[in-house]
Amino acid sequence: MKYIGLIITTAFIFVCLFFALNKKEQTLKSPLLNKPIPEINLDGLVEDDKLNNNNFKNEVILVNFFASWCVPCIVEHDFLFELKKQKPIKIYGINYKDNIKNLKVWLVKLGNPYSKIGIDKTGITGINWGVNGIPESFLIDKNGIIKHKINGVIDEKQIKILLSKIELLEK
Amino acid sequence: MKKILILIILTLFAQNIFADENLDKKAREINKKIRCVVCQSQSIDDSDSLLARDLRVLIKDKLKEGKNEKEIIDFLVERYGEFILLKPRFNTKTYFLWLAPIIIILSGLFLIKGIFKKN
Repeated sequence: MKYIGLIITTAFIFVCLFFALNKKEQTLKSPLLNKPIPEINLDGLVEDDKLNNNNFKNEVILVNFFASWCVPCIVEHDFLFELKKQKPIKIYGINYKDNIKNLKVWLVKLGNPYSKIGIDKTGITGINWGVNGIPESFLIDKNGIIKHKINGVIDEKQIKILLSKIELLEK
Repeated sequence: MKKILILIILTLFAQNIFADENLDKKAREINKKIRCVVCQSQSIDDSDSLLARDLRVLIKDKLKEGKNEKEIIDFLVERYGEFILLKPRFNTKTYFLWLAPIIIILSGLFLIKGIFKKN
């Protein structure tokens, strides 16, 4: 009875430690979720085909930050085609701090799943969108609101999540 | 006349150098408060990651545009959340983070006091 306080405190600390150590690694929620897309005004890969805020109207769009120098982006590329096969959604690519020559070669070699590609030469658009590291993707609703963010590669599991979210947003 | 002209040019030149130095100093002060979200335990002042370098450039550009520290920090927090600050601000989202140590220490003191009293 004498040490009951000490025992309770120690047990509490151990329970906290147990939960803290067993917690699955979580990525922080983007503060941009449920907010309108940040300003975007990028030159396109194709001349005169700029990517700007006007391109985000009346349809659900996936925005994918990628680069030819990014190894995980190669892995993700096939999954983007898979997503389009399962749901013909528009995917806008934002090419992050890349070499245009390398990008063109990369797209010829791996194929082009993007409806539009904007060139973010300086990385400022990446910062505007709160990008930590590529690949990162954002699901945008018909009103230009960010509804979902994926940090890292879009894989089979993410495709399932995306498909259910797209279905909801298209209703 | 020539001497006066040289003096004016030198004064303007010196002014520019000091203005740049002040800007660099201010930028570094802000850089030290911003977490590198790629490496996480470093500030962007210490980090050499691609994003840290871009953020340093952005902060300097914003200062050149005439933005103050609060405006720059607000801009970054809007995009990356409070997590981007190495020392989070005290607000409704972070109050528990700041108050928890005080609550824990006070609870500990009361507990110890209780044990001693009983004994």
